[in-house]
Amino acid sequence: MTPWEEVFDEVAELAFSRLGSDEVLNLNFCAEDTRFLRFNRSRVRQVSAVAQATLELELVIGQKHESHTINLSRNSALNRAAVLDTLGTLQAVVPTLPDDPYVSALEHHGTSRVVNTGQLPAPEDVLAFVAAELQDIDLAGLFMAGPVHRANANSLGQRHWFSASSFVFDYSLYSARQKAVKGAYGGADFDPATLRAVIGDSLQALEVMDRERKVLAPGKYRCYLAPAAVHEIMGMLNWHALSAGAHRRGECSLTELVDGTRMLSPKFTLDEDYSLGLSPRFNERGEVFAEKLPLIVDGRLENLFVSSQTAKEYGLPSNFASEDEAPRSPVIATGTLARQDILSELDTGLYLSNLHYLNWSDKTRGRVTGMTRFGCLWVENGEVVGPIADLRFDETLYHLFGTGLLELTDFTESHVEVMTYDQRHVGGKRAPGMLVQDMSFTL
Amino acid sequence: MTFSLTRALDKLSHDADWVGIRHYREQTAFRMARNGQVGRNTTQTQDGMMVEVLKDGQFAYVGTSDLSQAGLQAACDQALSLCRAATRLNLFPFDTSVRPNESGEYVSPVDQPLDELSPREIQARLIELTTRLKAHERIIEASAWAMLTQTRIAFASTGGARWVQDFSIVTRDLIATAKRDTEIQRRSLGMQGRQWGAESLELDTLLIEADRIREQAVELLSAAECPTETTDLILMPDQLYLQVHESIGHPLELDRILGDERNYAGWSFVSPEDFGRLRFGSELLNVSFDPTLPGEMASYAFDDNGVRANKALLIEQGILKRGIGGIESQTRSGLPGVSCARSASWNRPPLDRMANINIEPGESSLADIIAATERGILMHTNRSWSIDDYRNKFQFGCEYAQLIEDGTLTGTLRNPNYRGATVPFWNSLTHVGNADTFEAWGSPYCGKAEPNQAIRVGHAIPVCKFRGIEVFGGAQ
Repeated sequence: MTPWEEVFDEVAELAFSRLGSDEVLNLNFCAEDTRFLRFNRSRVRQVSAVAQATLELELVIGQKHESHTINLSRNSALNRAAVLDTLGTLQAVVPTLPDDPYVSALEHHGTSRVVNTGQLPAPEDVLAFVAAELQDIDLAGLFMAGPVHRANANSLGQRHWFSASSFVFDYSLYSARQKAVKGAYGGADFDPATLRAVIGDSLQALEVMDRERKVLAPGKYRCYLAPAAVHEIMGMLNWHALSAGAHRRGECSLTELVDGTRMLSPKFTLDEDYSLGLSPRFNERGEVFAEKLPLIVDGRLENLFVSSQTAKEYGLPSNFASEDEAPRSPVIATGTLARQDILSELDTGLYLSNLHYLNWSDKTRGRVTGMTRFGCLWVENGEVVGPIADLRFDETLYHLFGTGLLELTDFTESHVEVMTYDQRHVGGKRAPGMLVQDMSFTL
Repeated sequence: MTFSLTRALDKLSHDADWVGIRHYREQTAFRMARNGQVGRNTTQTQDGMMVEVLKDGQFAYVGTSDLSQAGLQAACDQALSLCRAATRLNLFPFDTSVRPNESGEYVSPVDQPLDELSPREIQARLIELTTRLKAHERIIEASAWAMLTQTRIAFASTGGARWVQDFSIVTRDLIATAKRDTEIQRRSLGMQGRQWGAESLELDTLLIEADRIREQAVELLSAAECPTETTDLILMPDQLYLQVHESIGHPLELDRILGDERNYAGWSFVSPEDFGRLRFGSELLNVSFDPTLPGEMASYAFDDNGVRANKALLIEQGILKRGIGGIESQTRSGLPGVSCARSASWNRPPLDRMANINIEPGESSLADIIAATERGILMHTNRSWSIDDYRNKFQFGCEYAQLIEDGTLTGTLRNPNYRGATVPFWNSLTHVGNADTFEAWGSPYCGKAEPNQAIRVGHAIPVCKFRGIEVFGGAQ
């Protein structure tokens, strides 16, 4: 099988050789070979596989530009024809478009190559495990495995390549009363013993879920948010919370923090930290982001994401953020709460393992709503009583990360991106758990 | 293309019980303008085939963008290999009865083909629209965009199915953001999508909308905050379509009820025993699955299992009758369904999706509904949505609202939100608007499934009124 890197280099060389003297071409490449096993009741609902690649060609002629994304395969003849056809269309269309005053010139930002390999299981290995060990368990979820590639190159000589081979088994287990807990096992090197241990932990957590369900009235509750629940709240930061362009356009969800009229807790620190190693540091223009950039330090804004387009439009210095100016590798700093003290410090309140379907109640003031889901418990006097009936929360980020934040745990957990819309996404985040007072629940 | 697909199918070497090939080619041009200047211009062409194989009761799917005969053969071989591996853990043994052998074609109804408008002309119109949207000192950002999609899906199977469907789809929006001191308000057209041609970008009509959107965005800056109270609620189609989507469409999906989605999108409060019994809403509520409505976003003639698409009532006079489940889910559950197995592209397997889920028009005019309201709030244009994994407890936010007192609109309200629970909410339905209030809306971004798929859905909806709903405003 032709390596995807060869495919990319071949089409890049071809496209760059067909440019006119006033034309600059930027290429973004994504590829994967993935096998998917979808489970319901520990049986196979759907099995599928895909070999796919996309190439985005962005042609820039002076202040005019346009991009076109096509599918590639390992078939060289088909690729060459598709690339030449697409480039020809761009060369015809771009001169007819108006000037874009905010396009910034492409540059040569160097070269890089990162390849993370792994020992991935064959579908047969996972099916054998499920057949042998999980047939008495009600499991739903998705196993996926395979290499994922990202690359960028431009006609000025810039070239970046990122590959990661990984697998993820993202699942949930269901009790006889149909209460559920969530689990995941992923990485680069598959080990059945580790999967067995991870599922064993989930089964232990599931035992509590079969206790009598606690129905709580709306109101304010003291809460412990486990790292997976914090990851969900962090996801809201992707919606224009820390974007310099969004702030100028009136779309920022942390406007008051950015304006300096409101602070978060001095305990709260957030970095963009690529030492997680889950996503490439280069963006869609091949610009390389810092290994680590502080975003919020001790509750005060330190940096916003600034893309080159925003920099050009508003006269700001670019920090080579991606075009959407959203976190790609965010990490919240730890606090002092030890794992063994979580229940006693919570005392009486809600232990929230996961949250679901978050959205804005009032975006410009950072107010968020969402639901409890998977393994959420009522705790009294430091003892787990049982699962809760699902509750809707409605609370501001200023309270969750600010006035309501009592403490963060002294450990963190990573979330590896499992989204697969169009293709497998890369990236992830890391967060500690949070102890929060007076969190508002409305329904 | 159908004929070449048939030839490719005939040349495949395999020992499968059934093979189908779905060729999916789609080109989407996204064109945008901001503040009187050109904005983002991108085009995406998807071109690939899904080879689907049935062997010993197990389906397997392999997607490939290598459209040569060798590429299809490799995909077929891999699919058979996956079938053999998965058969021993088969959830349900299917046979060829779930892949009917229909033939035919479908073409979107359009007045003016999309390719009659050049990229330059589209860009010029969008720039003019943003100039008009920006024409007030309080407007800090104005944007206009259009997403123009042309899709061809061709299918052939060893059973003899042969069909082709050509879609022309436009999604468009106009957005104005106004600011005074620390108050920021946004008003938009509401991301409207339909099967349309270039007529969807007719400039004079959109300029009228741009004027309205700009003025309403500025108006919201000085509007009162939506009060916190329990009151009558009137929802315009540009909000109600998403309420239908989240609280009727998703919980009626048979694959959710069967548990397939439990790990991602979620389950459903609806159980198999509820069909034919559950009073889902008041007697005024009639909900249809209607892939035949001309111009609605998800109209089609065949689903991706090759089942011919027909209109069917899901909820009749408030009683739940039928689920949103394709032929596989119907076979597994024994429940009545519809032709709704669809996939987002060539690289994903089909599963139960909504297509067009509509509320049938009633008798009331909008004027009569307002006149019959002693105190209430009328909300326009969705801006936020959230619902639990059983599709029960929801919350929605809108861009713009109006207070009704003694049967009259008396003022504008900002940051309107409302919340409730699905079955009580639909049972509080007191008025359903007539055909004059009936509008087709749709979204290209309904997310579901593992691996994930975002797909186009349509919702044609009249104005509706609900009694005793909890409403509230923004943060203080």
